[in-house]
Amino acid sequence: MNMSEHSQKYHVVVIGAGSTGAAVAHDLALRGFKVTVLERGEIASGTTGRNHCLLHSGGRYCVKDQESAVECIEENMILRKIMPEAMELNGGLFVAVNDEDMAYKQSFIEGCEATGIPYKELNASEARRREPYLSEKTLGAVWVPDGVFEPMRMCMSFLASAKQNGAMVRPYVEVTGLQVEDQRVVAVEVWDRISGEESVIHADLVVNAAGPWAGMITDMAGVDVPVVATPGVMVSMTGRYCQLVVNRLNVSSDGDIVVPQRETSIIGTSSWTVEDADYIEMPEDHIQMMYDRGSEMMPILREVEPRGIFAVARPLIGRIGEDEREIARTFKCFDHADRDGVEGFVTIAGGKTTTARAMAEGTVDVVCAKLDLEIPCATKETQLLSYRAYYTI
Amino acid sequence: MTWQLTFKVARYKPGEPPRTDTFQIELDPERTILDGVEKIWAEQDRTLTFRHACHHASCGSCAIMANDVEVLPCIVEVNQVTRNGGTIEVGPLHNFPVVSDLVVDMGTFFERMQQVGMPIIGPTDPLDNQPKDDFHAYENCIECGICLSACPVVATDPTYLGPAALAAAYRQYHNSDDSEEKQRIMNLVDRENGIWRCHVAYECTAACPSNVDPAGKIMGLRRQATVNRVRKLFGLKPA
Ligand SMILES: Cc1cc2nc3c(=O)[nH]c(=O)nc-3n(C[C@H](O)[C@H](O)[C@H](O)COP(=O)(O)OP(=O)(O)OC[C@H]3O[C@@H](n4cnc5c(N)ncnc54)[C@H](O)[C@@H]3O)c2cc1C
Ligand code: SF4
Repeated sequence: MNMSEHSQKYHVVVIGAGSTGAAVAHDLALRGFKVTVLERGEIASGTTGRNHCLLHSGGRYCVKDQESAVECIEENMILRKIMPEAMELNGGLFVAVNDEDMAYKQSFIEGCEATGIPYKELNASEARRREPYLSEKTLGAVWVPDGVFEPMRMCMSFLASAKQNGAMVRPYVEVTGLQVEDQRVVAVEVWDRISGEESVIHADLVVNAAGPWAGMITDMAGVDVPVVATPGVMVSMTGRYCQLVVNRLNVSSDGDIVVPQRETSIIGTSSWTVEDADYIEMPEDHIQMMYDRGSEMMPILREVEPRGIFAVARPLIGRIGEDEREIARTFKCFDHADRDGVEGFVTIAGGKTTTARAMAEGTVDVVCAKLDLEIPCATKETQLLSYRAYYTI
Repeated sequence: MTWQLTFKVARYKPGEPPRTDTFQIELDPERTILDGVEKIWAEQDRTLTFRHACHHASCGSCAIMANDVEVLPCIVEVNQVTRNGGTIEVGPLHNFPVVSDLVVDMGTFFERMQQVGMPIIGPTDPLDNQPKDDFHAYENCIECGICLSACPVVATDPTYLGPAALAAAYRQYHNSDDSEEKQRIMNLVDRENGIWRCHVAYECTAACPSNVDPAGKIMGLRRQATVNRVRKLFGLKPA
């Protein structure tokens, strides 16, 4: 039996066109669903577009959060095959600049081995030959397959492929309400920010991929998800001072990574929580911390001019008041039928842009199970279209 | 410390006459024009639409006119264009159809970039082969459209391929070792609405925020086209 004949009957509405919503739309369309994506702003105008652009190898999590590390390296290896046009596969270094960092090296390497991250040890002079702007205090480094992506183009690539498979993508359309009948979400109320028109879109199922705004969407159905908006500051410097991603070889902390992208070096990041992620006021001391901490690894970053300073909020799963760094970085798919007795409504939150494809696979598996369909996921093997096709399809 | 600023924003919605709205906002002078626009949307007017993603001049989506010059508002601090109590005027790029407020239609632009087909990030996989030390995977062009907005020829001839696509064609021509691909690119650009339409105003090169030098590349393609013609006379393949 051709299951996609069955999935075609169902209209799934995806709220949000960040990396999560874009990947979910692609997976749904590939499995034959009728899909509409609603995004209140431009594609990737939420958290995704403004993130640190790191295609994680998993190195940053391999000691303290091995579940996330495994997710990262698996997805890293998949994305580099299906989406080459939106990423630079330059690799990354974890660099030790003091004895404490060197003492951490053993646990880091054990972490890489336990989670399957390929690595290579470099001594100080090898590391500085690769990256001449590394601090003179460099004691050693470990190479891992980090990469750098263009988050907006990644989303466009997912959405171009979704459109090719029939999905409708509607930017500048904001969801203002959910219609619930007999404990089931049956329609989405929207406001078109271009025409000013308000309308109602019928949905057999709604996937809430609104990132740090996920809680505002669940409120519309009278349910609640524990998603905390947890911003971080990044400073993009004028000039590219490393070819590889430069991470601090130590427990994750503020300002411990420099991502080279195009002709810039982006220092990041920090972490605090906010109630409202629409406009994020950046704490001055967080910006200063980026220069201070970033220059411990690459002293030149103290001497050059900043180009762009920005902040954006992670949609982390947890509760306000919990220590932000302790909240797990992995994702979670909430089926509101099990949790809150509301049918036809799923929220996907947490995770990373690097793991968007896996998040989508998990979510669409839940969607299929809810509709009693068995359609295998094919996104691992499906080459994505060029991001430019987003505009030409 | 914050400044009191006036933002004059060009507004347009389909079916309505264009107008200008004035907003008063308080902003740290080190924040950018884009921060100002986002703050207006967040705190004062949810109908305001604008394109943006990376906020560090890599994605190219936020390009607009500010005080009548093309800018990437994400990297222009307000103190670079005004003073405390001053005014900033923002509007959509020129020479693109306006969709809504600061949002322009990039469809034709991306269609032409796709025709040329230059990847902005080259294939790189250090797992397969180690990149060279001076390795640069990124092309400079961020596909922002600023050069088209600044170009006096695009303003009068919408069929003109435009500086960004021609600059990409130059790179694609020289990156390729394949004579068929070179010929395809030449066929695309060596025509009336291609390289020969340019008036050599160099406005594109002056406006480009990413040092692509489209005008220089267009001149390069013209020389190449001429050389290829001469070679053809002698029965030689394109160089
Ligand atoms: C500082 C920082 C740095 C990071 N760096 C990295 C990194 O280097 N690598 C990595 O892999 N991950 C990184 N992440 C994590 C990653 O960016 C996020 O996990 C991911 O972008 C979340 O994507 P999303 O689609 O869930 O959310 P979003 O991108 O926020 O998408 C949600 C979308 O929903 C839209 N929306 C909201 N409300 C409505 C509504 N009512 N109607 C319609 N649409 C609506 C929003 O406009 C938004 O576009 C970083 C995160 C932060 C905060
Ligand atoms: S050539 Fe320069 S101005 Fe033109 S689109 Fe590319 S980056 Fe923008």
